[in-house]
Amino acid sequence: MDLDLVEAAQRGDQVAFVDLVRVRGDRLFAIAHRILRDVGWAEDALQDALVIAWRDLPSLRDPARFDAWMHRLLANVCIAQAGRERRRIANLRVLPLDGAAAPDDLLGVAHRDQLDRAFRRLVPEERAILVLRYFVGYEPAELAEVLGVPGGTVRSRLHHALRAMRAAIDADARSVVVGGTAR
Amino acid sequence: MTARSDLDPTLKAWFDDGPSTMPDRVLDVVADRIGRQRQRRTWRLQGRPFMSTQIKLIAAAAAAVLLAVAGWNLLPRAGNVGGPPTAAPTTVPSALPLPDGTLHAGDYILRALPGDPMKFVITAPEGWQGFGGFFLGGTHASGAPDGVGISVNHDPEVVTNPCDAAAHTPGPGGSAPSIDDLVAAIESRADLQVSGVGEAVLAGYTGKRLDIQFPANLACNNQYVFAEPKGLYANGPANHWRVWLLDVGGQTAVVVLLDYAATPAADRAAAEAAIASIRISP
Repeated sequence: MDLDLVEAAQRGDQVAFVDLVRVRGDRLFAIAHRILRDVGWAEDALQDALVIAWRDLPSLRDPARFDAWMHRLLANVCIAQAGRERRRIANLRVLPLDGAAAPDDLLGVAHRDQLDRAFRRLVPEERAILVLRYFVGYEPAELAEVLGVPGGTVRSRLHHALRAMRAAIDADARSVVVGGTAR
Repeated sequence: MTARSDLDPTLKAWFDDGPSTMPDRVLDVVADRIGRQRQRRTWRLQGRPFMSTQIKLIAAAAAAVLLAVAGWNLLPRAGNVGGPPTAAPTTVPSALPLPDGTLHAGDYILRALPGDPMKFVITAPEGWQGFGGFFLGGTHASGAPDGVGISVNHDPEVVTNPCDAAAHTPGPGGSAPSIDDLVAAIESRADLQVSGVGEAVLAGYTGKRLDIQFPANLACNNQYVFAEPKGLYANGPANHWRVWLLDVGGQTAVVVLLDYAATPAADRAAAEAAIASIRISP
C-alpha cells in the first residue's frame, strides 16, 4: 500500500497522484472492463473515476482505505456509465467481445459468449457486485464495507445476481435451441 | 446465500479472462485533466481541533450572546425562523470573506462558489471552522456522530441519482428550478426521509423549510442532494439537514444546518443562533 503516495496526493501533489494511477491503473482498468465489457467504455469510466478521485481525495479519512474507496468510486462510475449505455442501445445490441480469448480448456467459446450475453442482461449494480466478489475477491463482509451497505443487503444482491445470471444463461440456452441465434 | 454457487469457479475463470493493462492514453488524459481540476477541500470536517480552556470559555460566551439575541425566535416556531415575514430584507454589513481554518467570533461572508454574486453573511461563534468559502463547521467538526455545520448554496439543482453528482433534473426550459421544483425533487428521492415541509422566513426572505434525514447506511461515499459544481452531500451516516430554500429576488438562496442525533444541544443551539444571524445579499 503506497500510503506516502496517497497522503501526498491528498495534499494536492499531482505527480504523486499520477504515480498512484501508474501503480493501480492496470487493476482498476481490469475492474472497469469486467463491469462494462467494453474497452472504450472502461477507459472512459476509469478516466472519470480517477478525476473524481483526485478531486475528492482530501475527503478520504483513512489513506489506508484508498483501495476500497477507489473500488467503490469506480464501481459507482461504471454503474452510472452502464446505465447510460443501456439506455442508449436499449439493451438490444450485443457488442463484440473485447480482449484475449480464454484458454478453451477452461471455457469454451460458446460458453464464454453465453456468459457474456447473460452478464450484459444483468442490471449494472448486479454486474458490479459480481465483479467485486469474483474478480477482485472481496468476501461478502468486505463487500458490505466497501459498498457501504449492510451485510444482509450484499448477500441478497449477490444471491439475486447469481440467480439472474443462471436464469439468463438458461434462457439463452433455450433461445439458441428454439429460436436460433440470440440477439 | 450461504452455499457456494456452482457458478463460482466459472465466473472466476471468466473474469480472469480479458484485458488487464491500462492503455497509456488513460494516464495521459488523467494527468491532463487533474491539472485543470482543483481538489475539493472537504467540507466534511473530521478533526476535533485543539481548543484551550480559554477559547472554550470565549466560545461559550459568544454562543450565549448569540442565543440571547436570537434564540427565542428559533425554538418554538415550526416551519418558521426569525419571526414573521418582514417587508425589507436585512442589509449586508461589511464582513470578512470566510477563510479556511479555525475562526474567531465575527461576521464572515459565505458564497456557494468563489465569485458567486450571492453573499451570505453569518456571525460565526468563536472556535468554529471555515472551509471552502461556503461552509462553517462546529468546534467538533461536522462528521458523524455528533458534528454540526452550516452550508449555503445559490440556485442549486437536486441530483436524481444520489451517487452521481452530475445527474440532475433541470428546470423547465433549462432555467433554474423554482423552490417548489426543488422541494418536489428532494421529496421524490427514495433515499431520503423528508419531513416538516412548510413556509419559512429567514433573513427577511420567504420560502420553504424542510428536514432531510439521511440513512444510517449511506448509498455511497458522497450521497448528494445538490448537484455539482455547487454539490452538497451527507457529511456522515444518519446526517440530518434542516434546509431553508428562500426566494431572493427571483433567485434561490439555500441555507443548510446539518447535525446528528448525538450533536450536543449547545452546539445545535449555537448553529441555530448563527443561522438566525444570516444576512443575504443577491
